[in-house]
Formats: sequence, structure tokens, C-alpha cells
Amino acid sequence: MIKLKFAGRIDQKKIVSLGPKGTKCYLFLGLLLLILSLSTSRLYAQKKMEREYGIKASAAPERARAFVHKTYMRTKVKWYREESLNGFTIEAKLKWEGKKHSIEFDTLGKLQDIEITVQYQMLNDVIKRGVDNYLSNTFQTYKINKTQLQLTGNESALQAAILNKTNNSSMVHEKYELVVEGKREGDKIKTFYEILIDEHGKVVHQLKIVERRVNHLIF
Amino acid sequence: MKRTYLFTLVLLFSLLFSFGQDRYQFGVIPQINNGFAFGDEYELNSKLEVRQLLKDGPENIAAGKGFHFERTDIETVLNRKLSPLDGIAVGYLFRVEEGQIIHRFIQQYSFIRKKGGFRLAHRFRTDQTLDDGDFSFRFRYRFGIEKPLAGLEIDPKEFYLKFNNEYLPTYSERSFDIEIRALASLGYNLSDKMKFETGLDYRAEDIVSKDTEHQCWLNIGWFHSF
Repeated sequence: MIKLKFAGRIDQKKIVSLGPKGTKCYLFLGLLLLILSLSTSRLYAQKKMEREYGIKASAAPERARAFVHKTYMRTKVKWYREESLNGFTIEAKLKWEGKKHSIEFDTLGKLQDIEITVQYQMLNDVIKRGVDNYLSNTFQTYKINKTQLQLTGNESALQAAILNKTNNSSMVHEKYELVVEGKREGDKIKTFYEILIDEHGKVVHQLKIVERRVNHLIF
Repeated sequence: MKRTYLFTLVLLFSLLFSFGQDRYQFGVIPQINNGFAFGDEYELNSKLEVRQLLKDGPENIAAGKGFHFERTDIETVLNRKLSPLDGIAVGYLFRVEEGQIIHRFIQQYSFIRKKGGFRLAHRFRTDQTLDDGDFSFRFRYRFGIEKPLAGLEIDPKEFYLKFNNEYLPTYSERSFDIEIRALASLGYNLSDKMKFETGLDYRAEDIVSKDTEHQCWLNIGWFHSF
């Protein structure tokens, strides 16, 4: 005979204590199963190459703050310090004209580059053709998740480029950084890659992105 | 938008508290959660969870029973990754609840998306429960947000916040009901492989019937990845 009961609900009338011995027995069984699982598992190490943390504006170099202040007037800025194998950098993140800008400086406040999040479809046809060829030859399936325009050059040229004062392409160098989710031939799962493209649509480098574990979010 | 949100909240709470003398439970849920990776493709997640009931009403049965674990769960889920952030999974849960043994079979699809400094987790789960001849089926949807408290990524030795909201419609042979859960946790990421979390888990069970039970649990979790 099938009785009806909702899963997870406690019928208070039915409650009968197992007693301390019964409870201990099941706890012991549970711990034993966990220990057995531990002893048979394979170990996989992941090495995080970068670490960033928020800092106060006052902790950023004066030169960096001055550049951000005069380029991005009256804009809310968040400051970060990034640690990598190459040392430390300082980053300012903000929104400018509806786009996310990330301005990277060395620890003395010297400008390294500016990254602007853009729509992939907005890239010019030459670059898109180069990227599409590379991706379709490299991956069986792929999806471009993020596109960033990377600008390098001297501070005044970059400032003018941001403020749309000049369009001197010889002073400002453009590259594109893509985050691509792709599956190559022989791969068992899709993987995330960071691909740097030059202004002619050629790949400069490709890095595999190691994602942090997600067990605590899905179990 | 803000008004709609407030109206929804008021409506939800009105529904929750309009059923006369509701039942309630307070207690603690410690949890040990281990993830074992088998290559890039597979991952086995095992969870040991116990429930310590501290107070309940209106009868306060827990008071007469002293310290004991009212429920013990051992759950194992095998996850087949589609990417580092997406996966399909099947699992089994073995539960001992006040002397009764309960079996539950689990199927799951989950995916995570990144938005600025947030990670948004979506989990769709179906499960079938066998409890001494009783059978019930649930469709569960859980939405989770994780937010680092320093920077844009959760790095070692950093704190983070986690919020979960889950809806659990339950179907049994002649009845239908729904449970809603909301969890707010503070986490500490000791290393890339180990996390501790603690927070409050509110659950409203049997919302459709006139016998709603409100539960509030203090969750304490240890998450480890191998």
C-alpha cells in the first residue's frame, strides 16, 4: 500500500528517538564512507597565477590617480592591487560612456595599458575575419564570451584617444583580448581561453584559464 | 521596479503567515562536503549532513528528547562536467531520520555565469524519494550568488558572501505542495581547495496546504576539493 508523504517533511507524531547508540552508529558509518572516499581519490593541484584585492584610492600612486582624474572626470573609480608572478600592478576600474574601462599602472603609477570592454561585432571586418578563421580552425565548437580592446601608448596619446580628441593611430597601439569558451578536437569538456589578437587579426598568444572550484555553489 | 519587489515580498510574507498556527523548527545543520576530481571530466561530490533540532513548535517535542541528531544525510553525486562551470549529475542520498531509512535519487543540471565580481549559479534538480513505501517527486530550482568581500575574485584567505534561493515543488500521488528556501552565508576561503561557511537557512515547507512549517537553521559547512 502506498502512503502519501511530502519529501523532507517531519511528521512530528512519528518522532521516535534512536537513542545515543543508534545515532553514533550512523555517524560512524558516514565518517567511514568519507574516509574511504578520501583514500581512493586522485589528487589534482591548481595553481592560481594572479591575485587581486581592493584598495583605497589613497593607497594608489599619486601619478595614477592624477591620470584617472584628468582623463575620466567625475567618474566613480574602484582601485585594485594585483599580484602576479611578474610582480605587482595597480588597476583602476570604472565605467565611461557606458563601457567598462580597466586602467593598469605599475607600482610607481606609470600607465601600462587601458582595457575597454566592447562588443565583438563592433570590431572591424579584417580583425573579425582573422579571429573567426583562427577560432574555427582551432576549436570544434566555440563561443566568444568577452571582448576587450587593449590600448597601449604614451599617456597623452591614450588620454586623447579616450577623450576622442585625436585619432592618431600611430601613437596608440590596439590589441584585442578575447575570452573564448571552446572545445578542441580530443577535448572532453569545453575550456575557457584568453586569446590576445593584434590589430591585423593575428593571434599573439593563447592562455588556458583555470576556473576556481564551484562545489560550494552547486552542492 | 522597487515597488514591484516590495509588493512581491509583502505578498510572499502575507501568504506565509496567513495560515493560522503554523509549525516551526529551529536548529543547527553542520555539513562536510568533499569534491573529488577524476580528470577534467568527472567529479564526485560527497556530503555528510546532520540536523540538530533545538526547538520546535507548537508541541516542542525536541525539548523532551535532549541532544540528538534528528536527521543524518549521506549524499554522493557524480558530476559530468560540460565545462569547468557547467555540468550534469546523478546522485543518491541515504537518510536516517528518527530511526527511518529514506532513499533519494537525484538528477541535476547546473551552470554558473560570471557577472563582474559576482558568480551566479543556477541549479535544476529533480529527485525521487522512497520513504517506507511512500513516493514523492520534486523539481527543484536554486539560484545562488557569490560575492567576494575583497576584490573581484575570491582569493585564498578572503571572506565572501553567498546567497541561495530555492523553490521545491513536491508531487506525491494525490497531493502537491511547495517549499521555499533562502540562505545567507558568510564564507571564508582558506585556500583554493578549502572553504568554511556559516549562515542562516530559512525554509518554509508545505506552503500550499494549511499546515505550513517555518524552519530556521544555523548552517555550518566545510567544503573541500581534491
